[in-house]
Amino acid sequence: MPFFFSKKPASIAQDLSLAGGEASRPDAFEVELLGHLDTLYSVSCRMTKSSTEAEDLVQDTIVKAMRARRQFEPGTNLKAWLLRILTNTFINRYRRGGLERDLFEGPDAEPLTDGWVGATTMRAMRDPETQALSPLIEAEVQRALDELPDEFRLAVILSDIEELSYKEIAEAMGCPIGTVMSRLHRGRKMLQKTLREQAVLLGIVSEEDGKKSSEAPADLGAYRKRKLGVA
Amino acid sequence: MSAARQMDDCARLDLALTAYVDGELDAAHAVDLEAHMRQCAPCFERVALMRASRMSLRRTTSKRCPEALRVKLMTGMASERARKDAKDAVAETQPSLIQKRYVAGFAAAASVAFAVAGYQNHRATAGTVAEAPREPVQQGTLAAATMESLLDDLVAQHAQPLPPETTNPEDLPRFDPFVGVPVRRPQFQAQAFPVDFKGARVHTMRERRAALLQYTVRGGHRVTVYLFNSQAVPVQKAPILRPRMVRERPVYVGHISGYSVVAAERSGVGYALATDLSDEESTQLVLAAMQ
Repeated sequence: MPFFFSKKPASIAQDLSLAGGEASRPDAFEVELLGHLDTLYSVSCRMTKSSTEAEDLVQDTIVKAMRARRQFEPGTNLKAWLLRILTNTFINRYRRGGLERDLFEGPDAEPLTDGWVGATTMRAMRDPETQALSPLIEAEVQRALDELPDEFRLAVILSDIEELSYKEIAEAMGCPIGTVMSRLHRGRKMLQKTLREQAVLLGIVSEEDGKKSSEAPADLGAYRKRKLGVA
Repeated sequence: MSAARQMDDCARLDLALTAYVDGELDAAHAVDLEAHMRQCAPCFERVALMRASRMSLRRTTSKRCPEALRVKLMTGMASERARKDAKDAVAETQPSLIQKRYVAGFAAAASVAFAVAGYQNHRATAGTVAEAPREPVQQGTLAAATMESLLDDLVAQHAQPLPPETTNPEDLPRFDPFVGVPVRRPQFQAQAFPVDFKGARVHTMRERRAALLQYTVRGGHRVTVYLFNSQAVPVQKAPILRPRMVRERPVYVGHISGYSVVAAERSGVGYALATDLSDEESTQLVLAAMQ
């Protein structure tokens, strides 16, 4: 037991911050940073799709954040700043050379009718009570998200789950704001397509219903009432 | 409005729907779009569906950072801090250079060992832990398994001790937030033989932490004591332990890897102790510790 009677234990304790000591206690920045660990871990899991890689990614992010802490402007959005470091690290580490250039980017890349689903079908996929997807389809959400190509998945995670602004996402992903918007647009459409297929499989909506290209607007009175309820 | 005209509007507004849902559409366009949505069920539904997906995404994808990773990161942050402190010291004065560097290196080495132990434990048991809440029937078995693994861990720590984080008993209350119960140094006042406090550290086992206290008694026999939250890890009969009533209190006694192991509970604090003394002496020690 070579360490047991080691003569320097008190200073180790100080540096591990477990036993206190003025210089070694986590400061305000670190405390706030620790408050975002759940977010960083969740996002890492969704980005890497692997809990092992997610742990590595969170660790890299924290080390980088600690070393670059002087670049953070107090009073600004720390979560967005951390997610920017995390996204950058993910792209550089796991996707050397950045995200694949998407040849089909932009609103003209696909015919509008792709993923064109009738109002009835869309309504059937929702649960009016919870304002979320119907519980049956909800179970599929994670898989549907995992299936999205990286550039779309990252945009959807940062926007839908973490509520970053387009500007913040653009900074995190290193692309123009217009690109963020079109990635989100297409990403969500792909997501809905997968979920609709699931809804068809489950018999929540019929195949034919899903393929209908348009349908007459529903009863306007009832429609407006619903609208008031939602807005 | 003709169907063709409406399709045209939808085509024009398609991308705007995305920006609208994200609150990134300017006011003028938002008004325009809301007017369209009042007439167009598919666009209205598309917005509603986008919002519903978002709600479900948030609900299904949030995860808690595993406790082992959190500990590892906190330790990492501490050594990062120590590294910075050491750097600052270099800038300040020359003499403190060696001292600080030495400390920083030491801290880094210690934190690695500390983190790895927690991490491997976590990995090895991830499966069992995840299964736990689903099987209320096996609650008893599971608790026994937890107690047993705690004792295994205690014996491993006793056999190959890590360096203490502190040798000052006054530091122990600082362990409280990590362990979740008050950490007070057992005085062993009722003991006939003298007990020396050698040091303490916070120890991570699986998702939980305990305070690990190191003592020597009577001619150098080492004693390792765990103080833990007995609500998280109930002290109860594990297959390797025999229950005994001593002074109207249940005490669990057994042997693991040749060491005498004793566990007991008082006021929400669990005590587990490993020694190379006799069962009787260990039992007396744990009772004295709980005084």
